[in-house]
Amino acid sequence: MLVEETSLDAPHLRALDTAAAAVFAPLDLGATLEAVLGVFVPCYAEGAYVTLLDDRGEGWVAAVRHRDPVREAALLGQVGRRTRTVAGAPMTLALTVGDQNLGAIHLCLASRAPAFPPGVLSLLHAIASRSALALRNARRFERERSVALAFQHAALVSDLPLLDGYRFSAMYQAGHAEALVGGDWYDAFMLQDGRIVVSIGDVVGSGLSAAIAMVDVRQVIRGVAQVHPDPAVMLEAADRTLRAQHPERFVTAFVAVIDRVTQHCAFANAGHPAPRIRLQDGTVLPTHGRGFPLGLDFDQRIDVHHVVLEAGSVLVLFTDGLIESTRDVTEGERRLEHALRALRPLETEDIAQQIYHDVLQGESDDDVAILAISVVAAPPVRRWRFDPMWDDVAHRVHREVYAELAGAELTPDALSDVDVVLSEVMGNLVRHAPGVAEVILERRAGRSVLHVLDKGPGFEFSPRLPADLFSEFGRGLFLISCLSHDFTVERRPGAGSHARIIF
Amino acid sequence: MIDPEQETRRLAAVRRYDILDTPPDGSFDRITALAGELFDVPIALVTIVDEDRIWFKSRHGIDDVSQIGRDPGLCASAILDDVPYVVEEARADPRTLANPLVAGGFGLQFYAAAPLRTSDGHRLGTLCIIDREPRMFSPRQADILQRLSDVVMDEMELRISALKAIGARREGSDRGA
Repeated sequence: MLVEETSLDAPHLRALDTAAAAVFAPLDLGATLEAVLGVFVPCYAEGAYVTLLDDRGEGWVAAVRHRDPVREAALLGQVGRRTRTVAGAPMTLALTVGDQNLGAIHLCLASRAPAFPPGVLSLLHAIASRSALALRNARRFERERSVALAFQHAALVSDLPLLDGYRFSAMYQAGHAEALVGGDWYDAFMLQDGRIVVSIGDVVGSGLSAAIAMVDVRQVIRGVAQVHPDPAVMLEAADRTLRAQHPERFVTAFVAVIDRVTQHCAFANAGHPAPRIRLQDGTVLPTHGRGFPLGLDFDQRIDVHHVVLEAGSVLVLFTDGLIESTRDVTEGERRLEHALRALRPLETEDIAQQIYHDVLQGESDDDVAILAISVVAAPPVRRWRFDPMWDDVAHRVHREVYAELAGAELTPDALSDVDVVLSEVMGNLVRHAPGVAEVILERRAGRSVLHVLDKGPGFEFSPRLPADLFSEFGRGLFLISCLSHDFTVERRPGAGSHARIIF
Repeated sequence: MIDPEQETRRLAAVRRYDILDTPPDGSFDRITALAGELFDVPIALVTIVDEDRIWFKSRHGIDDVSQIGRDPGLCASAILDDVPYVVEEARADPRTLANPLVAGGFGLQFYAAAPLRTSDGHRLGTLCIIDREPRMFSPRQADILQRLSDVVMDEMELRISALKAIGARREGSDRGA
């Protein structure tokens, strides 16, 4: 087809340039079709329609246009129909790219219109050739977008945890047609010991490969959480994965681990917009720490911060699309704060949607993900706070915890294990943890979690890769780990340790 | 409940020990600090129950308050018996849940008090320990608290003996002059 361009004179070449600019401007298929029809109607034809070939080589009417609204309305009825020809279309221009046949543009000419002079005919073929290229690009873009979108939707959790006293609300809105699909994600899941892990992040860049990097990072965070639920360790693992497997990508991410029993929330941030905490009285606080995105080519120390999430508070995680829609972050943050202050967490059905609407007021064209965790009430637990140095009170706690667990659905074998475990727990407290200790029993469906919080040997909270958890405690704790379903020990911020024993 | 006649005699005993509104005394402060450490509580007090107030002879863990009204009544209840008075979880305990120290900003949740018992059977006040979180308290712990309280009382007896001796010497020297 390009050969014909040599026969075009200057005005026709200018017309070709204008037409090409018009048909290449949009990215998606629908808008490209409209642009193609706009080039032909009404300049060169009364009306026109485009047929495209599907995967099996069958034609279908993809778009129509006519200068006469009545005729156009009649033609619109044809859209979507399988056909090779439509009545009243005497002139057809093939849509081909190389040897690939995409379909055709059919022009409806006025009944007494003179034949096109050869120069115009060449121009029309040249425009059709450019249109074919534009349509192929649009179709490819659309396919990638739909695959990326499907990928992303599959990656976003649809089943947020269902827990007494906690409400989760999440949403993801892909950018409008002109924007590409990004790599935003949110995630929330419960560990076996009842702790909740939440994450949110944004892979910088867009398209299918960004969505793949997103899934990798999110999955690494999930996996590490099962072994060592420390926000800094999770982010460090994501950082290494990214640098090893997606060296061209970088990612902003925020991870938090929430213990519902102690209402303690440990979190770490790698360059992500600071999540907000809305307190019961409407005060809105940004979370501490910002850090740098993951995947940058330098080692950064990721700090863990701590906050207590009291009943009535809401933790709101979001991606930058929420506050950058106006291209003015300060204005976006002001809107967010206003929306959060006005929020009524207990009466709002879908907090994430509410925040989305209040902040953006329908004017976003960027990707937006929001995850809101609303603390309605602390979970029902039994607590024993006592000084294990006094063995009579330690015995009393042992008896009472045992009696509580005897009421749970445990087999006689499991119950005798409980007895041994409790003896070891009390012994460890007496030997290693001076001062008041706290034992908390949380009974959930099918599982009981015994929390033992002590003031143990003082140490600094250091979010590094796990040391041997048993080394400083010795055989007793090894026994506990053998006799319980699962057993973890974690250092508490400040001093002391928090053991979780799952029966 | 409180027998008015007995309360009159008890108040006379409080006056006899002449301890109200005296300056801090290292020996009592050492005992409250010890109680604080031994029971791992943030607050330990030696209190004297006066006619309309509870006055703190020694306070460990509280700086800004030296006395409170008698009405809220934790120490006032604790001197009604010869054995320690223990509230393990004040917000769930019918005896204390409405108490302003419990329901209000102070947030008292644990309270154990051993009476300061005189040799003639009066209870002047308490040695008490307080926490803002609930906790369990065993009979052995209560027993130790009572013994510490008896040490406080020994100090008071020593103090009154010393006062008497000084008083007698002064009288003697006045007569001699």
